[in-house]
Amino acid sequence: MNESEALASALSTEHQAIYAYGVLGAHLDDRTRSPALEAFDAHRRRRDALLAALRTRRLPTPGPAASYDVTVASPTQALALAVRVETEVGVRWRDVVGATDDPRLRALSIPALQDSAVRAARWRRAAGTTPATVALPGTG
Amino acid sequence: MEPHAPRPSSPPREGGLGHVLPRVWHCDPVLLTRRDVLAAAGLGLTAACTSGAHLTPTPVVDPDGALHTAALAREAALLAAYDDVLTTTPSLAARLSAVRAEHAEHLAALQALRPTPSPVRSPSTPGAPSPVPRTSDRTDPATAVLRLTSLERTSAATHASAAAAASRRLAPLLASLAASESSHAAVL
Repeated sequence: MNESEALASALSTEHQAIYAYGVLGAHLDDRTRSPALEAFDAHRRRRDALLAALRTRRLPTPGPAASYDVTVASPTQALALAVRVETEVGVRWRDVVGATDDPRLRALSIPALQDSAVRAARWRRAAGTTPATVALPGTG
Repeated sequence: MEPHAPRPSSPPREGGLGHVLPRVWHCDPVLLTRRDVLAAAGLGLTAACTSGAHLTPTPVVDPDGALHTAALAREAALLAAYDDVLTTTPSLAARLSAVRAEHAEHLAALQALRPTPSPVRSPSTPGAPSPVPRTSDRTDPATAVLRLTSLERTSAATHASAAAAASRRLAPLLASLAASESSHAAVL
């Protein structure tokens, strides 16, 4: 995967993450709603950073799909979706790390992978999943 | 969410060793395969190509060598710290064993990606977090977990810095280690 493809893939996944958090947030309780809102904002910032990187490279900046296949009917499903979202986001950001030598993209992608792993772990813990962490975030 | 194709659990960088073999290896490709060259390099037999008088062998250079060695030392130090706490405070086993196992995976992943296997250096290698000091309060579970959390945070930051400087071959693994250890620090 080259740098352009990795950036485009990361952008697509951040669009999905923003959509997913918009849906799942409504199913969370007071304890988990606040971190979900923070995650929603964090993914918007990462999306904006990706859009800027793509524009700088004169690459296409596709917007989100009109909708995504996201079904959430319970708090349990909301937490499971949040874990899936962060896992997938981590994979895409790890791809960026390995597809670029640009220090600015490394400085963007490495913390993005770290943040997604931290959020995934917190969502697993909130869901009562053990272990809450994984050895190699970003590998699926 | 749209389904995505399953992804391999380890870096599928076929041919990723190419960069460690500088073009100085002008050996007859029929007589000396790349595997032979790698094996020779691993044994330090860098004089394998000296039969041609005009050829001067150059040691194989791993651009990530120092970063790789330091990362191995960090993981060895973390494993030692967990083992120390688990020995002195067995009541923490349920809480710490899974995290300790993930560090063992980190170490194995780093070793698997090493171009030429070499023994893990002592945890005292520069860049490695210091082992948990042997003090009387280290049997206090809360204090022990706090120290491990601090070690995880420090190691995550160092892995992240190393990932920023590493080649495309090593950087994704170091970034994953940084991410894993950030998550350990968040939930320990």
